[in-house]
Amino acid sequence: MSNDHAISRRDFVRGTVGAVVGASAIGRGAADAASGHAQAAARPGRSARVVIVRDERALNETHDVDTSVLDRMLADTVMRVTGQKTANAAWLALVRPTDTVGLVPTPHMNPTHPELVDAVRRALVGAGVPAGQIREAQGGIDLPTACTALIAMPALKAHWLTGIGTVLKDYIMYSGRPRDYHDANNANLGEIWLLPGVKGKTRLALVDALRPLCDKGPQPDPRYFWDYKGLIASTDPVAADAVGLQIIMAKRRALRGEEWPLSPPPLCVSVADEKYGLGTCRMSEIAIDKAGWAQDSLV
Amino acid sequence: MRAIPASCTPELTPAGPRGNVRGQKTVRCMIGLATLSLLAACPHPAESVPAAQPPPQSAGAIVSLPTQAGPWVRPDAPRRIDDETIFDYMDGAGELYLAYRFEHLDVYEYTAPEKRLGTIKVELYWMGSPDDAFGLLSNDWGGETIDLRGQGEGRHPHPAVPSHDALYGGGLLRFWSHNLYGRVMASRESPESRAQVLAIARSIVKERPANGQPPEILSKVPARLGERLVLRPDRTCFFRSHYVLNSVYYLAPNDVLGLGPAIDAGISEYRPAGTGGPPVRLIQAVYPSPAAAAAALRTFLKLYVPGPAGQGAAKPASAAANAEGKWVGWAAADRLLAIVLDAPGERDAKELASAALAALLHQ
Repeated sequence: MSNDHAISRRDFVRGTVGAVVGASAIGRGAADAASGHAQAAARPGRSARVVIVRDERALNETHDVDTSVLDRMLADTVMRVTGQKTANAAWLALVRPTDTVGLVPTPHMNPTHPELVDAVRRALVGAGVPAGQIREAQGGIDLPTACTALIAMPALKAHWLTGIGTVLKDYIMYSGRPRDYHDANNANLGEIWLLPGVKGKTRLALVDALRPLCDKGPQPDPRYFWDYKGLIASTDPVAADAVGLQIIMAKRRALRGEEWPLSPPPLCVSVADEKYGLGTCRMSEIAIDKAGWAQDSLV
Repeated sequence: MRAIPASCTPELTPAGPRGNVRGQKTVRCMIGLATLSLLAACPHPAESVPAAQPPPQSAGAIVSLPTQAGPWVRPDAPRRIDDETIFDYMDGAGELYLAYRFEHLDVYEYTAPEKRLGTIKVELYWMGSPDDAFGLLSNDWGGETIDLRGQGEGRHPHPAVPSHDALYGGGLLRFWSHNLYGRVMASRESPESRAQVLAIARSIVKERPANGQPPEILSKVPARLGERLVLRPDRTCFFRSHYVLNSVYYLAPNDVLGLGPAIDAGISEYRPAGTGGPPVRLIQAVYPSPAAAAAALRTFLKLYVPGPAGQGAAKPASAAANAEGKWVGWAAADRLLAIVLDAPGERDAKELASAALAALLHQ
């Protein structure tokens, strides 16, 4: 079995995925899991692109953000995601000036850097989205309902109740009952992305990987933060989470010098692909576009 | 972004087996408010209605916090967090503390006149027993060991767990002091903040009762199985909830062992000696009744062990079975249960489970 996948075959055989995906998926799920979802073969017509932009100067030695460096990283990131030649054109390929844009950062455990939220807000205004049409939309279901476009902006982190707590978990509060997605039920996080007020609105998954957290918590332990100094972005939320998961798992192996599985397993990533159709979790279907600082990229 | 398939439905998955606990708490709160309203409406003298008073301070609740630590100064009173407000304070992390017997949390934040120094946050988790406070520390034995009491090697060495009661790393000090679990964290680590973090913690534990031994069940963990399996004390965790168990070792999606506040349980990790093979895990649990232990074993075998051993009507109280190339062993008697997971062979699974049960039976 590969060292790189985070979900064991036992998770499927013991019913974890069977309970949430349905019996029809168990056989395929078990087969995939035996070799690792992340390492499974590419499917025809399925692909995604994930951009990772890093800059060694993004944080100083006390982990403070250099906002000018961050602005450049953000511009580079959205241009690479969209293929546009300028940052303004890139943002306008993602949102319209008439959109009401909801920014969805994470407030807990490893909060999204406010400097990144501010940078996105500035960039959107610079691209022509009126400031009054840009709002923070983390919280109850009424917040995304009032938006026509969403930008998921979680920080990269492991989570003790959901395995990974990044892109797919970013909308958990929209469910109104976040505890229903704990433990193995994290597999169902993808369904929140299909709620009427949410479905189809996410234009970009922009992961704050400036200083990720590689252990689950539940409260942040500074030993498990590290300066990755990166942004990870994709229009495919599942692919963004899959790449983030690879980075977290690689960091955990590096810290302990041995396998250090996430527990509970982050089932939400593969189930968001297999059941909810939100994107791809298979690394064979994901093209990673890396730019900038290359040291210890972990993926 | 790919189109969402039309067949996907927006309905959310029903609540899990525990239901909506927050909702239940809200209902309890509403019942409490209704009761208070009824009491207020009763024709009793006003003085018969008990006034809100701070709980009596037992010896176990004593702490001494300096008002100033270097340039950092604390407020006079803590922010008090209880089981109703813990999720507002720390989101889903509150589950960890409720998974042990949490009473309340006091939070003090020391601030400095210069922003560059950051803050020092002191979190004092008051738990129902020393075992619960120990359990919280046992979730992670990593970090630099700290002797807060200046008593050398700390408490009496214990074969199943490290002998230290305080661990530091990256600006965070975690410690166990009787029925108190503490976290003292500098938002910006520096030599000065480290010194003050340790000074604050030393002040907290100074007047408190000395720690006794770790939970009794951990004294029943076999240190080794012959020359084949060797215990790793830094991977031993005391727990009462499947949430904690699953965060250490993912056993199953639901609470198959029927855990809860009245149950003492531990999970330990063994390394096959000399082979560098994958770890073997041992779970030991003490239940309130033989029926509860038997029910836990039945559920575990039904869900976890394939074939006749798990599905048959008569389940042996002690045996082993192959599960996907690794061996599961179990042994149960009276209120006691021992389960071995991921053993490399049948003999290891059986013998470690039997040894663990024998240790539990030996008082």
